[in-house]
Amino acid sequence: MHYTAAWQQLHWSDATYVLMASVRTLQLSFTAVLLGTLLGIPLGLARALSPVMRVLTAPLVDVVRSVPMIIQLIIFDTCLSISGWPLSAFQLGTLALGAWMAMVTAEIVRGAYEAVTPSLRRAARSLGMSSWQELRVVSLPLTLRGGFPAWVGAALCLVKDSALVGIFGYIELTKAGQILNARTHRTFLVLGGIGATYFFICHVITFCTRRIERRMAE
Amino acid sequence: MIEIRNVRKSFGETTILDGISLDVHQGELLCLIGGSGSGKSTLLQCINGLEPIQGGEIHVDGVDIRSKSVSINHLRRKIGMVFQQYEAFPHLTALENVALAPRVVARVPRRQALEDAHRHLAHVGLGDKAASYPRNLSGGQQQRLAIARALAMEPRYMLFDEVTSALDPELVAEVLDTMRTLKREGMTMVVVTHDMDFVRESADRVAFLSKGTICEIGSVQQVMLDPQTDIVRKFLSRRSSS
Repeated sequence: MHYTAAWQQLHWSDATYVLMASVRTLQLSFTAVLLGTLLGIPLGLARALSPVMRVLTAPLVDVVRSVPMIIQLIIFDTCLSISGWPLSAFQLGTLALGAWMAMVTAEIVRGAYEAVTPSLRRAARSLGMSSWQELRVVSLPLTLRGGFPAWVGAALCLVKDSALVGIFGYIELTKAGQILNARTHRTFLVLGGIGATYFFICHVITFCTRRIERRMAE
Repeated sequence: MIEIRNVRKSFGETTILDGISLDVHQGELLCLIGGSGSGKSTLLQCINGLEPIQGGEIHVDGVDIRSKSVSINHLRRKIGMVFQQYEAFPHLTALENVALAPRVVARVPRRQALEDAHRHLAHVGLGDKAASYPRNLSGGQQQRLAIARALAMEPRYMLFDEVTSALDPELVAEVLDTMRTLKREGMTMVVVTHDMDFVRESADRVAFLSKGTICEIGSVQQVMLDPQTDIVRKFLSRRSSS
């Protein structure tokens, strides 16, 4: 008997495929980070300002932050399917990753808010500012500035965790790598390349945010 | 005029102010002295409502600070305050620090607020530091910035809470000079301080607090040179020997 290998060599056209997959990783990550940040900032402030809110939202924050992303994705997926409201893999990923980002952002915001000293707030109030005015022009800018480095760290984490959404059929970078690997069996080259692409994406994000950090510190 | 009548203040079980009555007259510089824990800083914070009081009354220009009809925020615009730890806004330049409250609270247009801020910075000798951030200023400069920031709201009264206590000795003079300038200009000031030289030379009246009550109050002559109670005599002799 004569067998031919089912696999084919890598082609240059595969680079385009990887590039497209990178864009999809970025699309998913960007949407989830945006959603999570927009929800997380008010949630964090509410938790910092109101003891009642802190107690009420504590279970949610703790669960979402400590249960592994893969389990959360499966639970989200199952619940949504059962409820007759199935989402695309992109929507599912945005929702689960966004929820995680929101909870992490909320805790970063709470911590950064609490790092602004009460005496500084007092000084603002002594000038006649209402508590809202004080929040808007003193505490909030300082909170966002203080929490920014930790927020970047969370966003980078999310870019890597977005790989898990591939399991649900969203062809992002890692999933594309698996597909290429299955076809070519060039495991080391393909996964090495995919890993390097993640590194490149995160490096660019870090580089840009360092510049922003430096400008804020001036 | 600030009228303080029988003010009581406590944190839980601990009584901080135990029936303080005091008037601050227009244009005078009143110094509050006394040991630590005597309640002088707390009294200052009560005057502009930063600390709520549990009893008694405080009237500023005839208005009860606890009155429901007048917002405390509106009242605070009349009363500038300077703190021991400067409390400059770290994310803003010196100029923006001074212009912030007029813009946000008094709704002065941006250009006008910045123009006024330049004037107030020049007034405290920081005309060339407008673009500097607080962390690039010395303690004395930050404290003068805090004074300029309070002056920007054009207050009728200024409260000073141990404003030179955190400063290196060589930086104290510039802050005291700024305060003397304000006094010359007729600002009404209440000054909590441990600097007895400043009290002797600048105060119109002195009040000595101990355990939340006023032990003695009167002119510098009366309180500093001819104290009537043992506790003030002891306090002053300890201060002069150190």
